[in-house]
Amino acid sequence: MLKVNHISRSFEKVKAVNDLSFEIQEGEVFALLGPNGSGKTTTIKMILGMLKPDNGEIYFLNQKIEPQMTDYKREIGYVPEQAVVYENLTGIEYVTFVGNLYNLPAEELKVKASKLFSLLEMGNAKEQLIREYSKGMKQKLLLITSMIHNPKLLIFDEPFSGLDANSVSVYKEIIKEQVASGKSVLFCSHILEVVEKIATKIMIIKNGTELVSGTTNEIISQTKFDTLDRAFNELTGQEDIDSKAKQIVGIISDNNNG
Amino acid sequence: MDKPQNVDKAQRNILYKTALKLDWRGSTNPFTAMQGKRGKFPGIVVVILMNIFFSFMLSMMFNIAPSFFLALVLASTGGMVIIAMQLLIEYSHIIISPDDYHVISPLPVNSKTYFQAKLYHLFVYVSILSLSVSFFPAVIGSFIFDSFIFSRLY
Repeated sequence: MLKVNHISRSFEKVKAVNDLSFEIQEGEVFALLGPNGSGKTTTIKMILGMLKPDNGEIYFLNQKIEPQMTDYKREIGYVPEQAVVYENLTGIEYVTFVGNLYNLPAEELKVKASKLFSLLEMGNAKEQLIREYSKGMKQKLLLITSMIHNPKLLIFDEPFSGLDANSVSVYKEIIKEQVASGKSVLFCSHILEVVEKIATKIMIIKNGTELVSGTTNEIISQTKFDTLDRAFNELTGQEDIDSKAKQIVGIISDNNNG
Repeated sequence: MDKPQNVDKAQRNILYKTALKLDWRGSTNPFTAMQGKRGKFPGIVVVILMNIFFSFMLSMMFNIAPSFFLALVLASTGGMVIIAMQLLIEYSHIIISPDDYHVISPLPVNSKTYFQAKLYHLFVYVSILSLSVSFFPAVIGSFIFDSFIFSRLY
């Protein structure tokens, strides 16, 4: 469905993404993992057409995305890491605004939006201004706007941040249902237990470069650990976490004593 | 072969009507931002009231203006300066909004449509400001100089 072919992107002297390639098939949940500043969001922005790669190409359904960018964006749903929305609109107005930009029929949009607000337990908040929403509510709102047009590819950048445990479970089930209906999902997350459960393929990157990719088991088998989070730490060069934690607590304690 | 991008009129209308709705509900103008969440008046109403006050002050200068022509120049210049200052204050909201990049760029809106929507929004916004800033000078000028040519020229 989506093919990323040797893309690179620099910001002045910093190489954010360096020769990254991967492919997402239909019905696949692809997790892009990496420590902070590893180039995950930059990669996602290039896939979304928000940033232009310095090198490389991106193909969607075997066609380059650039010449048909508007048509391509109609097939994509996106939840960003930071919930930037028009805060002076109400929840339902924002969903209607986004749905209208996808040229959805007004009646269909109204029915779908109402049902989604109710299912995500936001029925009472849909007439409230977004600036009064909590972070989790904004994430749910963005989830609604990302799916309202029934896209073929869903892209989630840290979708679970700010969500309570119940909402994370709902999110996980939504991803599973979407994949079961033949859609594909690309997501970044730091909650590795969730990644382990829902991702069919994982790629770990650091400094914009691929470290390893494959299924959870394939990645774990390349390390001496038996869980994805420990394997992730080892692969990204964060092996001595326990001693680091002790040192940090030690510094704080010293300051308090001094 | 690149597909030519045309303006999507439905999208353009949605974009600029939403921008006007956002103007009505809030503003980055420091005077209106001070109202915070519990502000009694929409941001743009405060701006319009301020403009009416400034334009009233401006038209008071007609009493001391020695000629019809000088009064006209004073009123026009004053009005333009006020509007330019307000546009500079609201630059990040009216001209280029960083929120638009995050909200609109992942959506299927081409740049021509976005540009035209921004232009429409700017035109309507400036028209509202111009009307509020020129109402008093036009009416008072016509009475002081006893000629409706003043308001027409203005």
